[in-house]
Amino acid sequence: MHEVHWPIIIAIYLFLAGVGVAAFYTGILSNLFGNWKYRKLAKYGSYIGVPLIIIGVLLLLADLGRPFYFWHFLLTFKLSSTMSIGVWLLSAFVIVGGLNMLTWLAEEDFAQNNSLLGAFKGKEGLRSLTGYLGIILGILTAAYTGVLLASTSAALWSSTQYLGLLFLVSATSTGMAALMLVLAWRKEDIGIIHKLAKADMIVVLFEIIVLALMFSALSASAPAAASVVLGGSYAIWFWVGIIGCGLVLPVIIDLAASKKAFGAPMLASILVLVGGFLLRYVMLYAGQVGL
Amino acid sequence: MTNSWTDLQNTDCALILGGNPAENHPMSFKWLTQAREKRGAKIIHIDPRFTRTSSKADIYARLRPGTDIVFMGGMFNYILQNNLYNKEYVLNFTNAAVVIVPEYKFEDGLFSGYDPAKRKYSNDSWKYQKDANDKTVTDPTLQNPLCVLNIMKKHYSRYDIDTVCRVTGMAKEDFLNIVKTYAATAAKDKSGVIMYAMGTTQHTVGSQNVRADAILQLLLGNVGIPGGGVAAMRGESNVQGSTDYALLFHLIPGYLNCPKTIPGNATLAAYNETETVKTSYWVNKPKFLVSYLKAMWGPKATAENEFAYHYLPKYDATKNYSFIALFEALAKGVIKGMFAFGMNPSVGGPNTAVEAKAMENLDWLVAVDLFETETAAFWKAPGVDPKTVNTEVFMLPACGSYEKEGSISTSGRMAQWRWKAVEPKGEAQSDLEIIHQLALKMKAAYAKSAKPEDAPIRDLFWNFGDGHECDIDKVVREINGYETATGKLMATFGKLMDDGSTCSGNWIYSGMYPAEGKNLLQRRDSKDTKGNIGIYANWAFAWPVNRRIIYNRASADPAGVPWSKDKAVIWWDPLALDAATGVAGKWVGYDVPDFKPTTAPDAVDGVFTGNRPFIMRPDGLGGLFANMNEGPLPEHYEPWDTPLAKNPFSSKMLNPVVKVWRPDEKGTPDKYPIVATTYRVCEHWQTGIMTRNTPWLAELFPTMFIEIGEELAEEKGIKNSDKVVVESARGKIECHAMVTKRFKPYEIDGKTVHIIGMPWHYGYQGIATGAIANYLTPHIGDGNTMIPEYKAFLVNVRRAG
Amino acid sequence: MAELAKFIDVTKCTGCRGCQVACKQWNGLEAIKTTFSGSYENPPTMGGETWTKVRFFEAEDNGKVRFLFRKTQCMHCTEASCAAVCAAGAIKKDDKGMVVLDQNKCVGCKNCVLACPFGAVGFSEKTGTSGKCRMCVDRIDNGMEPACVKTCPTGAVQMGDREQILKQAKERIDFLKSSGVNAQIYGENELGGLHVIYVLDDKPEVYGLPVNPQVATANLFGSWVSALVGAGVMLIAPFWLMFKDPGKDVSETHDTGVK
Ligand SMILES: Nc1nc2c(c(=O)[nH]1)N[C@H]1C(S)=C(S)[C@@H](COP(=O)(O)OP(=O)(O)OC[C@H]3O[C@@H](n4cnc5c(=O)[nH]c(N)nc54)[C@H](O)[C@@H]3O)O[C@H]1N2
Ligand SMILES: Nc1nc2c(c(=O)[nH]1)N[C@H]1C(S)=C(S)[C@@H](COP(=O)(O)OP(=O)(O)OC[C@H]3O[C@@H](n4cnc5c(=O)[nH]c(N)nc54)[C@H](O)[C@@H]3O)O[C@H]1N2
Ligand code: SF4
Ligand code: SF4
Ligand code: SF4
Ligand code: SF4
Ligand code: SF4
Ligand SMILES: [Mo]
Repeated sequence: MHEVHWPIIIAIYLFLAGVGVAAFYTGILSNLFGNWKYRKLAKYGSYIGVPLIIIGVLLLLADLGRPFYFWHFLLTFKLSSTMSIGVWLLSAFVIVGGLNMLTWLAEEDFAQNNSLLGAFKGKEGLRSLTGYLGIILGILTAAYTGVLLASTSAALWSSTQYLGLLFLVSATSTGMAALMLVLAWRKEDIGIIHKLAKADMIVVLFEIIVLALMFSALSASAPAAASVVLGGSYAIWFWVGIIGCGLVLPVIIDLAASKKAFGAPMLASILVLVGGFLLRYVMLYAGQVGL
Repeated sequence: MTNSWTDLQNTDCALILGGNPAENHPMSFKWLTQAREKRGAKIIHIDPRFTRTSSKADIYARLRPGTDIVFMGGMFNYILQNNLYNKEYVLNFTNAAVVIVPEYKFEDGLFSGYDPAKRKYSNDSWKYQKDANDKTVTDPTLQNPLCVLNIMKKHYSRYDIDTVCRVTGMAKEDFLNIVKTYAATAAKDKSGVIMYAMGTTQHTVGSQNVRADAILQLLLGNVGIPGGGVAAMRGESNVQGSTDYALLFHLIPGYLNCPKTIPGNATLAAYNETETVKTSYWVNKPKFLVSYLKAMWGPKATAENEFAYHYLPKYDATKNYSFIALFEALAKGVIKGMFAFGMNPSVGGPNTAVEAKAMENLDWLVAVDLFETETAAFWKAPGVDPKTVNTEVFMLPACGSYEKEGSISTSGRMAQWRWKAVEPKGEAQSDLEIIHQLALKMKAAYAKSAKPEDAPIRDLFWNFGDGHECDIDKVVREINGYETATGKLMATFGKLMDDGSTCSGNWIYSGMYPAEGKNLLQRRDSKDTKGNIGIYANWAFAWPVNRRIIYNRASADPAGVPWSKDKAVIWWDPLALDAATGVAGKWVGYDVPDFKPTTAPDAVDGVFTGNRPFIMRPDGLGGLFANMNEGPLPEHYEPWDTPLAKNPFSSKMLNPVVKVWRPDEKGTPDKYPIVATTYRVCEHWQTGIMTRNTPWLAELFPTMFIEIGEELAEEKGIKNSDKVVVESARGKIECHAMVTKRFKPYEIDGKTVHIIGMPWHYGYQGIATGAIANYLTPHIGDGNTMIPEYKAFLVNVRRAG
Repeated sequence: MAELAKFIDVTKCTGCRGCQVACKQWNGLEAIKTTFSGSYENPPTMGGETWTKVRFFEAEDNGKVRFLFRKTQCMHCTEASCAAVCAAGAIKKDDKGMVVLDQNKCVGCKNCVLACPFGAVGFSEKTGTSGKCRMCVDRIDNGMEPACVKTCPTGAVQMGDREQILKQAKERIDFLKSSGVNAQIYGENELGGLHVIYVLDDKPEVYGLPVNPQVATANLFGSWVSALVGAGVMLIAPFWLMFKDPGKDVSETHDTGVK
């Protein structure tokens, strides 16, 4: 096994951060484009997104050599440091998304007698403000997870300009999948689930295009690094796991499945999520080969 | 070293043969690098394998282990045949023109005078011819076929290029390139140095290998001049000191022979008569010996009792007391007690499994060391049941060099003081203190004894303090010597006397403490002194008399004029006044003259002849032809384990004078077709117990390995880092393989011969451990020094498992 | 203050690894528990406890074997990737051009480890922080040479004024070239000028040096732009296509979907 500076915990963090912010912003964006008629998506997005981000951040901290010194991050703000940008984005997102989530929680039955949550009841303005802000922060955060890797000297990551985009697209797809999964699990409206599935298909299409663009660029600028993924020790994971199970199969399932059952979208969502995780894992590990 | 480390900066060509200084003497490359930068010096490295030294060489050539004399013989032949030697130097300063007695013969690998039963030579037929007036016959025209140069020409005519390359495996073009490059140092304004160490000595022909170096340097006029000489790169940090102080069975300090059980050594007078060469500076030997005896037994050494000469033990002249012989005696149970004083033979000794087994015969063992070495732990080695070993083992913790004060002597004969840097840990004590306490306890034990055999200890003059803390300053004073009546320190050994009025523990160091408060070993003046030729006369002290280039009289021609301005060290200045006598005419220059300062080049003055520079030799001439146990000229014999069926130079395979201890333990090429050699790496020290216990060093080379060429590895199906088994006629070990381009197969006598190499730094004690290389090496030594043949033996290799 | 630089002349290096050990000793770095590496090189990589390391290369050019050594360490880049990416502000460049990592500030995120184009920074499990050559600034400030320079027996490593070092290196190159060596300088212009100047006797890649090293942040702007342009497309396409027409195929109850 080659040396790994950023281990699997970082892959999980990158994945969770992506799923989290994307669940959040896809929820809100659906709602927004749907003329505020998909409140449910926005709510679920918030419920999924904020906790995942918090878990992700905790994982990031856990991977630090000295987690209890994490506050040193907060003494610095540096545009050249993607990590610094990320730290500030995540911090902001936790606050903004957290407030957003509170406005939703305040509406839940169990919150009716809770004075703290009560304070957030009916704060539509706060909800849309944090929603808009959250979209921006979320998209930047999703892109950041890729740009972070790109601003290194690992050839696989730094030899193209597509990694931020790739992670953003993939995050969006996994975020949608997470939403779908929760909706399906909660046996929510099958129609919405299918709408999401179709939207996801479009994103997956994007993702395939971005992957193709990226690897053709990489094959020119960093052929050795590209071949680690395309033909080397990570090729199986890439072709079968990421392309096959994570991208192609979900589309086929979505297209083939009956429009009434919950099983198919659940399966497709799980595959997308697995594929999304594998994408981060493979890119993270393959990028560290030979460092 | 005839010169010094700092003098390497003056060389025009360094011939590194039988050494790996970049790894084992790293500081040498400071000076070699400067020589390259300043004067475009060339570096030639000849080694069976490509090392870190080779990587910095201008010319690198391979040679099969154990064939250095073949290569050197080839050099002599080429140089003599093509008249490339330094004629003026050779004719005037060496015995080239001396005529040898007609009885001298050399036939089929044997010189005249050999006794096969005793495996010994009588050197009666190797003598100079004398005329009616008992004067040595010379032929300056070099016509006489019996003159040394012609004998050499004939002897080495057999070492033609084809044969040399066929036996050594060296490529012809490499050989020619080397001989031409190095022979160019015969020019008067050029100098070349030969740097050697264990690759040269650890052979059954080791001493003759060194002789060959000396001969080559004389032929090229490279002795006595800056950037020249023979650089014996000494080993252990103080091994120079340990030989100077006679940690050898056949010597007493200052290179005086230890008395033997022969009639010629029966009395002090007889000893002086037999052992004193009256035509050289050694004429002063009785003064050195009596002063030594006065240092040993002080007031108890008197003219009446031959200055306690008989207190010196005399050894049995028919026996050998060197390392291998000692362990053979151990194996036979002759020796019952042993001190391992800063030594770890269970890793470093040859055929060491046998040696460790022999130690089981000991009643007691005292290990004085920094660590529990493999030797101290021999009774619990892997595979040994401690219950079966009855030896009582004592560990005395010694402190390391930084924890004590004292001096060490470097290869350049320079003794340098070191101060204590840190306090010793735990109960550790300095070796001096341990010896001091032992001496005091023994003296106390024998104080009342009237037995004659106890007298040497009872009467031992031990004037270094009576309690703990041996007074080291007193030790230095005694070595330097003083007037016994007044305690006045000796300014030089020239003032030592044979009447008991002076003492000196080691005459060669006399002058290092010439006056009160002037321990010259403590000097630290790094400014180069006169001439800027790297003399650094005010840094510490070099014996003799702070001379940095010995034989430096040879840097000037017979008339006393430097051979070249660039290579000047001393010269005869007819106008300079001698301060002592007020007479005009003196040797002056940058270094302390290695000559009587007032003897003019054309004068004969007692034992000094003005134009003969080698004052320690009976005739003052450099010995191209000189007596050694196996003959007057180096001749090639194969190692004990050899891949050849026949010695291409004669029918004598093995050096005819070496003692064969274990005839059965001989490797033959049918079973062991691969030549192996052992060596050091820069990162480890010796038996490794110090470096393997230092985590920063253990990290660099964590365990035992062999180096093996790609071709042999392929043949044996061995991949890099694989575990392999290496086997010899003595034993087998398991370790890793390092497959490298730096080892290549040899073409020897029409046959492909592979070679592998291995470090010998590992053992089973300490942080980093590994197999012991010396399980494989033979129990056989050189014909003069008995140094074991660690450098050439046969093995087989296979993948483990 | 004038910029300093270290001069590493591989043609003088004997690969003794004295520098490697001296660095650990002076800086109190821990030994690595290594295993047999198959070559003279060990430990296998630089790390938080290994700030300098000699690399060994074997080559063969028409039958002639070569054994090459290069002391590797932080290059003290003018455009220092490590300093650029450190989110804790632990890596700073000083007025002499030395890039110093302050382990008290480091949180151990390992970003610098991945950012350095020379693999010169490593993470230490022992301290939980990253570590790299600090050019012995503490020694320099006290008028001493770096520990590795002091140790080097051959003079292959030296320290001095950058201008002076460059001059010296060029003279050496000229000298080597005149004796037929394919001598090259490395570090003069790379990444805005390194503060470690190599004299090599072969191409940089033979010595394991990147030919055209890039600062880790070179793609930063481009990556953000492409991501954000992509984000723009994504914001519109799927959501506009799928959700702009609420109600279709969706039950219009408050609870499950469209209100
Ligand atoms: N780092 C380090 N330095 C040391 C020591 C140490 O253990 N470690 N030990 C010290 C001691 S005690 C000593 S004696 C010296 C020894 O110093 P060296 O003599 O330099 O030591 P070795 O490595 O034993 O052998 C030198 C070379 O001889 C080569 N060789 C083997 N056989 C032959 C042969 O037949 N002919 C020729 N020409 N070369 C041959 C080997 O390949 C090897 O490269 O080093 C001293 N310095
Ligand atoms: N195969 C093979 N074997 C060889 C050689 C070879 O080339 N090949 N070389 C041979 C040569 S040249 C040599 S010199 C021998 C060396 O063989 P040894 O002398 O047996 O080996 P060292 O490891 O030097 O042993 C020195 C010991 O002294 C201890 N020590 C260090 N400092 C002090 C001190 O101040 N006081 C005391 N009391 N102890 C101290 C160390 O811990 C160590 O145990 O090995 C020989 N063995
Ligand atoms: S003995 Fe070791 S430390 Fe001393 S000069 Fe030689 S290499 Fe350096
Ligand atoms: S070499 Fe690496 S660690 Fe050193 S300054 Fe440059 S980027 Fe930073
Ligand atoms: S590991 Fe330390 S020095 Fe490196 S980037 Fe992170 S905080 Fe900065
Ligand atoms: S300058 Fe100091 S810190 Fe840097 S490699 Fe040398 S010894 Fe280590
Ligand atoms: S100390 Fe000097 S000679 Fe030794 S490896 Fe380091 S740079 Fe090379
Ligand atoms: Mo030695």
